[in-house]
Amino acid sequence: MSLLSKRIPRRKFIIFTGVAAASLSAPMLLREFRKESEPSKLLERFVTESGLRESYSIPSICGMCMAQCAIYIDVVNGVPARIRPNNNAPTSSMGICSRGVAGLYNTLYNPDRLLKPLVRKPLLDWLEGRIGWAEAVARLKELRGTDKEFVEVDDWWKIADIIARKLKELADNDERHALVFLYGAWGPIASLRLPVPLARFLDAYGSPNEIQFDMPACVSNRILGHTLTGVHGHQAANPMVDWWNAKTIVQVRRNNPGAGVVVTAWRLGVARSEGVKLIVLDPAFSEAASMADIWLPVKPGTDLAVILAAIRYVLENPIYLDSEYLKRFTNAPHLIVVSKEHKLSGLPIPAREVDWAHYELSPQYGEKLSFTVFDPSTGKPMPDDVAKDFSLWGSYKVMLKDKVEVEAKTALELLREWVTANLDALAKKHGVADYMEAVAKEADVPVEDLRKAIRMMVEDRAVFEIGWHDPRFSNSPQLWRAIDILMALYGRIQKPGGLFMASHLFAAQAGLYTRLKLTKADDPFYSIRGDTISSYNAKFGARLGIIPLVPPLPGPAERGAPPIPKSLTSEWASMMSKEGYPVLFPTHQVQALYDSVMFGKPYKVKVLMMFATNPLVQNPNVEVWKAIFKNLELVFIHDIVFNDTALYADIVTPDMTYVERLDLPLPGIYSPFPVVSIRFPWYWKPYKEGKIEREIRPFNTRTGFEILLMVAKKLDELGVRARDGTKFAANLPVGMLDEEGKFPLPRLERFINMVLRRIRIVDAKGEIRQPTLDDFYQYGGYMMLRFTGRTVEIVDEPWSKALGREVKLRVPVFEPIRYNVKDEKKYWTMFNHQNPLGFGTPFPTPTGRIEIYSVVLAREVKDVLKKNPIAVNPSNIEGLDAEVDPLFSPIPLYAGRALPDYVWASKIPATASSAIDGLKMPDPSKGELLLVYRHGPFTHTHMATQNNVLLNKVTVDSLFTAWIHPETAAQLGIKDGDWVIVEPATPKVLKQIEAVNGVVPKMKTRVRVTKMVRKDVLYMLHGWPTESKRLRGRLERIKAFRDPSFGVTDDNYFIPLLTTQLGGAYAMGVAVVKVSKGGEP
Amino acid sequence: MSNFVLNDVWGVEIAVEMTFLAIGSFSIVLAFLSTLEGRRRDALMGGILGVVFPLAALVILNLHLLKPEAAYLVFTSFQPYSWMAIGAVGIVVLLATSAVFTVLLMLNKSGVPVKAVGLIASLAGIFVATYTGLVLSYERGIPFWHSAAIPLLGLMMGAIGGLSIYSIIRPGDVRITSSLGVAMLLQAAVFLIHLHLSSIGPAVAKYSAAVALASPVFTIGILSSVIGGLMAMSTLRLRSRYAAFTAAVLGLLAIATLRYTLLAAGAWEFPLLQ
Amino acid sequence: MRPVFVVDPSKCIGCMACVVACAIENAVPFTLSKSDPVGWPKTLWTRTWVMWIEKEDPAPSRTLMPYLCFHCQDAPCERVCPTGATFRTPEGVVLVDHSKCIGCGYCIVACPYGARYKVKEGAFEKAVRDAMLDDASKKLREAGLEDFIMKPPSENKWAAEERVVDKCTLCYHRKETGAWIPACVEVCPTKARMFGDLDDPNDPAAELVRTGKARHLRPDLGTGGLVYYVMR
Repeated sequence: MSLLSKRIPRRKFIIFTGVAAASLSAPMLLREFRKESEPSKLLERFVTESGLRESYSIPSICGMCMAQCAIYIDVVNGVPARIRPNNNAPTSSMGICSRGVAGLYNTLYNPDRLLKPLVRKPLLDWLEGRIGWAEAVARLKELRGTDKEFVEVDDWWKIADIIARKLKELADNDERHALVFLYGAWGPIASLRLPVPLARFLDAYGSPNEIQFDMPACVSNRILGHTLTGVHGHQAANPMVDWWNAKTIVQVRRNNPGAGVVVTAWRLGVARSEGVKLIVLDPAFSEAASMADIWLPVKPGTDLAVILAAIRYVLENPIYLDSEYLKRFTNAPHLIVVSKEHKLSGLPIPAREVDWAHYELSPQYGEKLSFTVFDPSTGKPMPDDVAKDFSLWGSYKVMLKDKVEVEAKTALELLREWVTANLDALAKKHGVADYMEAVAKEADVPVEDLRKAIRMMVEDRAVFEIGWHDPRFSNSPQLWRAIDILMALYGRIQKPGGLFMASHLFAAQAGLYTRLKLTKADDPFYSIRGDTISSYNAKFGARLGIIPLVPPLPGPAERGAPPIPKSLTSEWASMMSKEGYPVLFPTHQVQALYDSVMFGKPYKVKVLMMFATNPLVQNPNVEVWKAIFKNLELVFIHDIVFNDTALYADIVTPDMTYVERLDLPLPGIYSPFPVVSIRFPWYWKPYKEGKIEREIRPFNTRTGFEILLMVAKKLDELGVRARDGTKFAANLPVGMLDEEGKFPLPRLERFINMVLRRIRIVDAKGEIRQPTLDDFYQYGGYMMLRFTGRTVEIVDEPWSKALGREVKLRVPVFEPIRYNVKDEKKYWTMFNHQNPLGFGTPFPTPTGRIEIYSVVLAREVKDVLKKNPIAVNPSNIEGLDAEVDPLFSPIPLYAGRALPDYVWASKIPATASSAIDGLKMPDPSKGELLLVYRHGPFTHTHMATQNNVLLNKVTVDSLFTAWIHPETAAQLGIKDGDWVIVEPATPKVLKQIEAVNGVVPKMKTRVRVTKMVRKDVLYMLHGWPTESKRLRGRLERIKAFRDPSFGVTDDNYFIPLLTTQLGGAYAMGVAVVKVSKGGEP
Repeated sequence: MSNFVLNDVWGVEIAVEMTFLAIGSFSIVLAFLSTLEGRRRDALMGGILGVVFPLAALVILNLHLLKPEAAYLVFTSFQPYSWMAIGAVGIVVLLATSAVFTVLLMLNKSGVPVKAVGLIASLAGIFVATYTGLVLSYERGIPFWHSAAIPLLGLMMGAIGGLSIYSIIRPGDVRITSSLGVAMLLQAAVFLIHLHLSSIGPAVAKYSAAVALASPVFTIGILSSVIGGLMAMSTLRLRSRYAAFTAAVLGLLAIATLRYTLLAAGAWEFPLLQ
Repeated sequence: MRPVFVVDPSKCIGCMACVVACAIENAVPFTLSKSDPVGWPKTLWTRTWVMWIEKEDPAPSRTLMPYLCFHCQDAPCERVCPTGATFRTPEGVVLVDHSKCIGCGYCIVACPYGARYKVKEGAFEKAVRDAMLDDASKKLREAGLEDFIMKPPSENKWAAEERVVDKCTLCYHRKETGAWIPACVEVCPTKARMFGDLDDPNDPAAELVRTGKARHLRPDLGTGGLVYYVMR
């Protein structure tokens, strides 16, 4: 019967299954094979005996996006046949999305899946000593960009050997920091559960350079705005809106139902059907907009002005102010020094700085780490933890220890003064009296709609989603600060009906707070009321729901080695400062790779290792990235397919797909409640029943974890030591690998049980014990953990052994809960309404409160910019020639669309002017439009799912067209369905391409003429490059809408490579493209 | 973005099949009448056509199925409420009786048996002609078809089919040519009335009417129906064999093209939330 | 049991999980179907779909409309079928007996809802090859694994087949195996698609029908049916 025939005769079927099982299991049987004359008979017997023909369902975790929904993998006659939702999880409570259901078409049924490792020939020649490294690299650089001279290699040790030798060379030359691990957006399918081993390997090896490029390319600036204010901004906290008690929900720069994740989308959907109202600010009519009660198509970049208008509306209508909330939870009453001269100028007054004797108050006040407020009941200043009442408004004189009397205003007073001045200036600019009209003009929306929206926001005390992808404008951090401040004014943060914090993720996301330098104990401006972020997590962790997942082996850091200095990001940022372009709160600055690789500034990185990611095309201005990749020494990439970046790699290795893997435990990100999830492979049942002895691995694949361990093993063999002189085997479970470099399933099971060793649960029998994989399997791979209030002392055996001393510690005892959607609202009360944050547990900010006036930002303006934060001029709405750029204001201010500058080796002087900067404003009459890209919808996760023919089929055609407004189209003579040519019109993009001798990109795409976009915008589905022709499904889908034979097929080619000064993200919203007629339909 | 969807399930092949049925059905009716007048040769001719055309129609119909080999199921598991099933039986009866009728004529038989068989065959013929309309008009899915005018047109097309054939066999016979003329003009009138009623009916019927009017096939159909009709009538005065012949050809052309117009302009209005 | 299928478009987020689940569950040759924003099984060649109904005037609007066969009480398709291949189960589900269907297309013509389409000879071979899925299948076989590419993952005599007219079956095969819930409903992440039983007084979906919140889409055609839409 033909390969394609639809039904399979059972007998034949069983034999195939048998081959699978037999060839990959029971060594006894394998031995028998060699003797057996008629294998098929033995197979029949084997399959029958081992019961592999049975059908069953395995609870597992979806790997199609970051949300980690719970699923069942249905196995029929021994092979995976279908994926269904497992509703016992707060993510997939009601079901899963198309991506999850289509999972098998991404993994096992992916026609273009990589089956064997690929290595470029020059590397093998070098390995076998035929050529020297210099020659090898020269040839590699020529080959990059093509898929030529890739040799299929069966022996993974060869690959580990190549990498290890190169790493030895770096170590020998004291260049360990020249190794970079790069990963990001593409990766949920493989890398989401990898960061811990990755970080451990780097820490052991001694490179500080783990770069998640999706931070600057996607979320870091938005996160910064939230964390500066005291809100947990990681997108994992997206579901933390109290859907069931909110009246109105607002989405800004966000398309939840469109680009969304089920965990938030189902809650929004149900909430709306229960009467929740929705307001959406978006330049295009997104899926979110189509569900909105009010859609404000604001001019891109002006949404900050809208939020400031709402803030002013609240301040002018005090009935909406929640004074009690402001006094208890925020730094609104804190006195900020406004006297220009004093060292505390622009900062709150620590109690230890006040001359309490002057007020006949206890000198002990000075010993506390608290901040000063004015207490109307006593008519005196007071420490905020002593005062009985707090003045929210006004200006006061405070006598300090240094006998200087300074003038200070409450943070709320400053907010009112500055926001009022800011919007008055905007009104002046537009020649109107009313600030609402001014903002409506600035944002280019009907003033009635704006008033209606703002009234609805304020009267309903609307809750805002924390957003997701927002590297769009340099004012992004200030936008999110303004949003949090607005919610604080009417008391909606950590309050029912409002926004809650994913406090169970504080440990996992500790980096976000380290970025704020909350690392100096007892320094009022560099700590959380005296605690560093780590001592804070240690002190409050259990109450906050933090679940301790700890590697069985300690690393250099745990053994007391100091942090690795000279991270590329920090070195580059300080270099930028010296060149006159300071970057505040830099993080994961992948932009630094340009200066580093091309010019060796601040230093050269040489070896790039990437895990399930596609940075070549996922970062803006692709031509620049081609140059960067071409000029590296060794490029390694690990993925399930030959993606676009693989074209520029020297080693391309095939990953195991998520349905085939037992994966490391993950503290349930994207869950509104504390959870741990574990992914089980489809053959887990026969394995546990002893029918197979190890994993089923149909192709010559390895996990990223296995590769790291193989390289570590080789490094030990080559005599390279970890940075603290230990063997790599002492830092990573190298010993658990088998002779083929595989991590056998039984050992992996043992390893994961060790990772869980610090968790304690009260089991069904009421006994307190450590949970195991088997417990998680019983719970469907997904366990909610509720802190019982009890802790027990345990001895960490593995660490005691490794460190040679007894490691004794108290660990929390949890009640394990199996999620049931019927109790969804109960869980919100249990976990979130009763969250201790703000009730005895400080918010993670210096003042321990939600910061209306950002202490950290003020502090950085002083320490890094050497400027006085109080000298900000709120009336300077263009931000030009300001003493302090309003972009850095401790109180969010609107300063135009805040176009960023970018200094790179070409030494363009720093300036606040977009003209010199090479950016520009769109001019629709000339076909120059602002490029607004979109993700999703829902049917895709970035580029990781684009070779999935089933998902491509259910992505409706109209989404692949570029959207343009009828009036603009008419001006350009473009008709619906026409082909148009799109090319970059931003001088910056062209300058950058010129600098790398790149080709100016052009795209031929079909347009849809529709009123669903603004007149000054071209709206496109983001992220459909076709550099790699080996992803045939993707190529087939896109070619009818974007012509690959003509030019590029993605918008990233048109976006400049920028770095914003506040946060260091890209500003991907500032790209202008030229659109011209390109032919009839 | 419209939710009017034109019928693409039944196209040209069905138009041809139904036209064949039309010709076959009334050939036998006229054959029967000829026997009453004792015109053996003409009757025999009609009888043969009454076998050949329905047979050809059945072949076309069968080829159009996804499972031609299973067509017998229409008879073995007969569905009394399905017009298609009933029609199929009608066609088979028509075939069988026409065959017997023809054979009897060939064997030079005459008298009661021949007349009886001829009568049954003619009734079957009339039914089959009407059926080609009923099968479309009974259901409501396609409003343009859900009209009494359709079976009526089916009947007329049958008559025109048969009369055209006989005008060619007997070009001199004014009774036949003139009746052909009347039938063709009536057909045109009924078709136009149907279009008018549709255009004041439900939105989707209106749409169908518009599609029909815009179609060149319809123009050919309606013109040949009118011109042919007039030419056929003209034979009453100037007994021109050429006029009769041309009218007959136009008659056949008209029923084929108008039938196709009917099918192709049929449209559904599928649900769409507004 | 008196099953009802209730659609609440206001809850639909257009994720298409239902369409994907249906295609897999019933082995629909999906790579041949179309991806039009607006279409019906008849025009798209798929058993179910979510329509993206977009309007621009007076203001932009977008309605997401899950769609499937309405399983009429008075089913034109059943009435016109010349061989009795189309029939209604005791629960009112309209099915096609593949062994009896001759593919005349009369049911497609008669259906006022566009719920049916033909699967032509050779459709599966084409569907698999066009999407290069034959490569995937081959690789898996070489590795000793079977695949379920366009093959029903569970016993399903109503799965799509060549040379018959195909339509939604409300996953009737699942009823025969015990737990009856259509695949599209099972996966729907917002439960914009609901499946219930009028005989169960506590069934939320049935309640929507009883209270009249959910209604037939074309009562004027008087066909009745098991599928209701929540009107807001």
